[in-house]
Amino acid sequence: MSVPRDVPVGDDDDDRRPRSVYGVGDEPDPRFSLANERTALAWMRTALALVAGGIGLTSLGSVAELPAFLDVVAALGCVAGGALAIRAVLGWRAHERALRVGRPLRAPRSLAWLAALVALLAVVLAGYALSQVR
Amino acid sequence: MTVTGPGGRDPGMQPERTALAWQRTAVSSLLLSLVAMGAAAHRITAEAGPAGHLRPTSAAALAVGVAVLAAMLAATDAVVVVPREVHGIAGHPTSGRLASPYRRLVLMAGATLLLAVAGALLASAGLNGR
Repeated sequence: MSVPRDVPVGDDDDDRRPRSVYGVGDEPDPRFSLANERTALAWMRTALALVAGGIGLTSLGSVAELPAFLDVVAALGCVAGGALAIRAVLGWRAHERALRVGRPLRAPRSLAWLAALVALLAVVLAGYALSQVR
Repeated sequence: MTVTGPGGRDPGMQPERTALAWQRTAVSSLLLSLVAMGAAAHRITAEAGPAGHLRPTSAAALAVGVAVLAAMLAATDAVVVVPREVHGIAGHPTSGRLASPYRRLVLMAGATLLLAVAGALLASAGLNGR
């Protein structure tokens, strides 16, 4: 990865990976790095929760003979969870780099997508639950 | 590790909170992978189909098996290594800097991705089975 000219180059004795992060800028306040780490982990737990919901739903469907579209909902949750796990790693990298070169952090756009997805899942599942009321 | 406050400790307890965040994330992934293992095993025993080619359920079971191993590795790492590293005992050896969390983040993401693939495969098998 090429380093932009206006970015200060990192220390030579720093062998930490990835170099695209630790090869640029200055060491930030460790508290900010640790907070960034915890933010990535919070995204990762959100991803795990979506996958858990998907696996739970499809397992329940196989036991209780639920309609087929719930398997589509389950697959959607799993795919979204997988995407969020990748996003957690990429987000950590972008934020750590921004901390090191003193640039502002990116806006968390995926938060809006996540909220929209969870709201959609809630509406679909609530609609299904209500349709089962006799 | 240079986080210090009165008494040589970070008053915000950042290292402790970070270690705990690793632990609850890794233990969650281990628990989920064990649940997924049960789900895949249940689906395989319930499923009677032609053998010989890789069915979605078998592929899901394979993904779950690898995920269990990755999650076990991540959980051991989070419980045994991370607390020492974030407290500076075994951080970046040459400089006292924080260790890079990148490798274990990628491991966690890998375990999560495998579980996501397994879940999607189980869902598609369920869809075809109706």
